[in-house]
Amino acid sequence: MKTADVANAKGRKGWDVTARIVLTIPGAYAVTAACTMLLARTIPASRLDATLWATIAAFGIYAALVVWVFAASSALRAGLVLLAIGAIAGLGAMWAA
Amino acid sequence: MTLLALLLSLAGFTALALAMDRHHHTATGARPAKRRKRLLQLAGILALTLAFVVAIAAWGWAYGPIYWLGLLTAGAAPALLALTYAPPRRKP
Amino acid sequence: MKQGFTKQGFRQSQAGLHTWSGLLVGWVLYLIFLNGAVSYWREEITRWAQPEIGATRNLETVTRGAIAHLQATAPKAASWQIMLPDERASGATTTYREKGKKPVLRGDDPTATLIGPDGKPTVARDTEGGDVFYRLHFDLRYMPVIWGRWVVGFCSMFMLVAIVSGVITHKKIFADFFTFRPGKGQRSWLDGHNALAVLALPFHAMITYTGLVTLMVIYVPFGVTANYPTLKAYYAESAPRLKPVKPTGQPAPLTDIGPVLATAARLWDGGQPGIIRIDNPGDKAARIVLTRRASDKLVDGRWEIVFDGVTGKVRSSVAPTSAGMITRGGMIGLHAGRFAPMTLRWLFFLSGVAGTAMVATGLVLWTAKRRAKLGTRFHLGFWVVERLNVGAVAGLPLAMTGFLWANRLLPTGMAHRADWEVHTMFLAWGATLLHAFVRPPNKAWIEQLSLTGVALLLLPVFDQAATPRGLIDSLKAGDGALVGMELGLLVLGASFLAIAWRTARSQAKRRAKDAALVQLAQARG
Repeated sequence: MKTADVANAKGRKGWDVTARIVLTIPGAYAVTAACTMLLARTIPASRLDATLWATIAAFGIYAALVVWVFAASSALRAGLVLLAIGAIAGLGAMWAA
Repeated sequence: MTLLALLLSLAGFTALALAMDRHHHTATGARPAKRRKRLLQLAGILALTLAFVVAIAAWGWAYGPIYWLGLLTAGAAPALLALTYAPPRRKP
Repeated sequence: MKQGFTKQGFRQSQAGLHTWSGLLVGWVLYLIFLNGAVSYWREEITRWAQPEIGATRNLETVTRGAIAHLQATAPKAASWQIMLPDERASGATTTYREKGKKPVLRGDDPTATLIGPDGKPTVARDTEGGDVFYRLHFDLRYMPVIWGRWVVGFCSMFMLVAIVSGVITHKKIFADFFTFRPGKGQRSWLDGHNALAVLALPFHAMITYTGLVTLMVIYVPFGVTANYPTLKAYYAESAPRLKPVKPTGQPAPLTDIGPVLATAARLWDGGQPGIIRIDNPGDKAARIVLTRRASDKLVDGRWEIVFDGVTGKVRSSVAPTSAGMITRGGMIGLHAGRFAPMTLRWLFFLSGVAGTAMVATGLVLWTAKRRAKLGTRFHLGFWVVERLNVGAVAGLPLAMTGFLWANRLLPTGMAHRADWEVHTMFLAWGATLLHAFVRPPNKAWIEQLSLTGVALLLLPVFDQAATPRGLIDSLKAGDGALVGMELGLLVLGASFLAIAWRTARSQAKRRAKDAALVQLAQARG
């Protein structure tokens, strides 16, 4: 584990971590917003219940996205996937309006 | 009921811990046989399940699970302390 | 090097995330956890902070007294409000609103009067009591409330991330569960951090998630904006307000409150009101609105019964009925634990203490790891973090103890007394931070921990000598809440001294070991 740690630390340059932090804090939050809107409009329940459940789920979605951003093989890949999820959820939410 | 569930939780976690090689070694001076290991694990899971049953019987489905989880923590803590601070036994 | 989505790589990425997110929010989380745990005794602390008032035995006596007081002092008011104590608190507060005036939503209401357990108006020292820790837990202090809530929400979100990544990082989560190897430096801190985390893992996950849910519409308003034109429209649907009634101008006596309380208890399965509002008192259009107290149900939300103020008949009632509101209310109720009877309250509190200790050990672990790596080399970042750790982990409890002492020592007639209790706490915290930067860290730890212990232990001594409700008095009066407080302070004080003593002992051991090594090296020439 130790050698892997060292290799990992060297392989992961500063900009990579910075990029992931940027992807996490504004990036994953924006994607969460899109997913929450989509859920709030598509959960088959009353308007109030759907809103509440979607909002409750938002924190789980955000946590999962952050975990994934740091697990992805590269920051670029993480960014592209985030963008894709966000775009699909955003378009879906608009369509569901 | 609180006490019963707490004791079941304590017993359950003690059995689960003793099913681990290292802790079994500390407690008895020997590693557990495979059969005994299985037995201890089974007993542990059984005790924790029973604690759940007791909690549901005592507090119902709304509050029972909350009590159960709380009592799991309360039972596991003394088990951990006992494993840490009880003097190890050597094989005679 | 290609790092694919392997189990090993995944775990390592999460280890980095765990350390990064943990240190980023660690100090604030420590404050949130500590004050949250303490807030499970919010009512008891408030009772302790106002030794002028004894325990409330009969809610009806207090309610009748409050109404009599309002009738005598504000017969022409547009609306009266009585805040009743729940079973662990004491003393009611009455406020009223004059015709044509807006209600006071925040801060001190100049019309507020304290009603004692005997139903008569009384005076107690000006203090926030247990509310100070409760508010600090999610509003922070000295900044607009909304900023505080965002900081707390941000930190809680990364707490959730730290929980998830911590569980993933942890290879043998249940094997290490039972493993604690004391006296082994960094290894022990890691063991302790793991054990505290895993032991109360259901609590940590629950409390973090439900904590975010309590203020969720602030943090994630997008569900609301997706479905409602405005935030107001959402609140109108989730928490509809009663329409105001206009007074008729015809006088009519107010109905007797006794049967009203009895009806409410019947409709709420024995539940009691926490707030009684009386609109248009003395008018034919009088209305009595009872809001159920938070302590006798799990699901947080609006439980209200509206009575006709003259006939005493039930006009309408509301309770959370939509599945979404019950989900949200259940999560908030679980978080605040207002419903929790003593056994469960203790379990919640101890789990909260475990959470506080988990954050503290995590912070100390961060420095222990780096100290091992750095050796004797100087590193500015490390130097600062090491000292901030002392001022945060040991300093905050000392500052909170300072609040308790300020409550006892500040003169009762002092202007802005309640504010100065809080200022004292933060001045004390500033002093501990300063102390942490001028003393060597190992000395600073021991000094602050032992001072906290002594200060806590002396409080019950002071109470016995200088207040009418010391430990012995409360034992005689059978006042469980205050007996609990005094004993709690003693146990806490002893625990702080024990921790200080252990820290000193392990430092002495380390020094002895170092000295022996030096001697050995010298002997070998």
